[in-house]
Amino acid sequence: MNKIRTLIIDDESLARDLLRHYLSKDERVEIVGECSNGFEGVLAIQELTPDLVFLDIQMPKITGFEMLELVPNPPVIIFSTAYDQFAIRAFEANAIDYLLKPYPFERVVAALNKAVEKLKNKATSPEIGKLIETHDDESGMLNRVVVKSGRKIQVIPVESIYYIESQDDFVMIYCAEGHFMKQKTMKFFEQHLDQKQFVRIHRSYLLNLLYISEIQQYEKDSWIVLTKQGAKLKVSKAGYTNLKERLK
Amino acid sequence: MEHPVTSSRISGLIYWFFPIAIGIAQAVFNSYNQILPVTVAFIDGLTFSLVLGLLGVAVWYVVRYNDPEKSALFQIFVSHFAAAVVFTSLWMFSSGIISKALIDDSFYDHYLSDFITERIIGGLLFYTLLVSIYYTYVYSQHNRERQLRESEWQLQIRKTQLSALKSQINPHFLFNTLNSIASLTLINPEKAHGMVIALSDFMRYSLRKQQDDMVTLDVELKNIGLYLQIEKIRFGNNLVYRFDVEEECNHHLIPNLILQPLFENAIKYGVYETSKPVEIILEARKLPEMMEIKVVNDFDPESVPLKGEGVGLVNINDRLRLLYGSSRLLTVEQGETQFSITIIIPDIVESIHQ
Repeated sequence: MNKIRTLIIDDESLARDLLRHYLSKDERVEIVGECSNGFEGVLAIQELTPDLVFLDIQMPKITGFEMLELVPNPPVIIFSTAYDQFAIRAFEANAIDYLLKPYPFERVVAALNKAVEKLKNKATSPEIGKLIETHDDESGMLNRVVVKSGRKIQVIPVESIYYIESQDDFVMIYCAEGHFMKQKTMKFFEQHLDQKQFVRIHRSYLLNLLYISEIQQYEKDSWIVLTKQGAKLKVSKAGYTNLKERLK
Repeated sequence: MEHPVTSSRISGLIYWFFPIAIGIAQAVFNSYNQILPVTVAFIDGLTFSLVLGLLGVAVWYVVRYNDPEKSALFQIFVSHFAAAVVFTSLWMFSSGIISKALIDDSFYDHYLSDFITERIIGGLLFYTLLVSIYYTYVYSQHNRERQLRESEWQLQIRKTQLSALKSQINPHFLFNTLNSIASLTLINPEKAHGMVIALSDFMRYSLRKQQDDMVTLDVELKNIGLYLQIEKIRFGNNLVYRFDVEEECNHHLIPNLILQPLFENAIKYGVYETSKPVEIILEARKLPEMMEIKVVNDFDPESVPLKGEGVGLVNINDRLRLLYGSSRLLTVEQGETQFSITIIIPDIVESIHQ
């Protein structure tokens, strides 16, 4: 059997040292790379196409979860983190195991066994990476969104989002930094953005109230919002009711 | 402090009961003894008593501006003496004008001049009585405020205790530190040894200290040094720190554990959020009647931290306010790439907590 091509992503060098030490004792594993943050991690996954990733969650700039959102077909993931508040989400994210630091060698071997199983099955039935939801504070609300265009990764604070437009099975986020595609549903953003700030004005639009410049009636039961940036967005009848409610 | 008469309906009713009762009693007395005709007696009694009551409301302000906790006793006495004279003359004069306008009778004029001395004494007595009641009220209010403040202070102490405990069992800190130690035991046992000792000393300090204690700056900084030493082993050259403390500040007393959250924030929003080196600098200098402590850290302007900041800072501010009686001892400045927090520690702690 081929060796498991493994990538380590952790911001602390001592944590990487320990993991490397453990993995070097298991002959099934070949370490193909190490990254110290999620930005490097996204690129490394695309370039090195590892079979398995040991992934820390709390890292500078973007978390391990946010990083996975940017990888279209993520490899097998084992989370390696200091505490268990994310455990449930880790399994939602299709991680096959969740290691709590500090963990012993035996725990790594057990996780590797699971990975081997998973990789065998994967060969017969390729699985599409499941979508992961990123909401990190207790209220479940987003305060930033991580996007990627080409090789560049951007972290957008939600305040700077002008509006979100739904496309077929993804959304387009319009913000100060430009516009970005994101593999998420409109419903997800409607639920995880502050409802005091973002209003669903139309089937296709979720608008940030901060950037409204004008509302014009266009015909009966149909309106148009002009954003401060000059975009014209359609407002449906239900959307207009929402908008009026929010602007009171 | 609210005006006791206008603060509630009941206190207003009680207040007005007294002058009106005196007025009616006087009217009944004058008519019963046939000193004045009944109508005249009632107009006279009620006019004088209502004006008395109205002026009495204003006496409150004389009491407010002569707070025994702030002004000298002699000064208070002089002000009240003057106020009593003004009060009584104003009362006699204005009530006289009104009642004479209502009762156009020379007999009544004679009556007023006959009893002028009694009325002056009555006015002065009323003033004295009223002032005593007002002072009793002020005193009880002060007492209640003090108790409120005292319990707020206790609550604050609990909060600080809790947040100090929380930061030790902050899982991100504790378990990552333990993981670093686990790693070092294999790679560099010598360093692991040092880290275990630093972690133990750090935890012992915060667990042992009474939260309402004052400590000297150098003791507090020694503990923060332990914390930074641990974080430095984890983050290596990404964390650089420097203490710049004037000699005479070393023994200045500060509330214990008050600086700890500042460094935790600097690490959380500075070091945890970037892969570039971050410098944290503490400067302490002595100013007249106070010490100024400034903590400055770099941060990555491109990072968008996940959680809102500020709760720790609010706690520090509350603690300083309760201890030193001012809410402007903590200042926060955010520059392009630097975050700086300045704390003023006055030399004198407010007396009630000593």
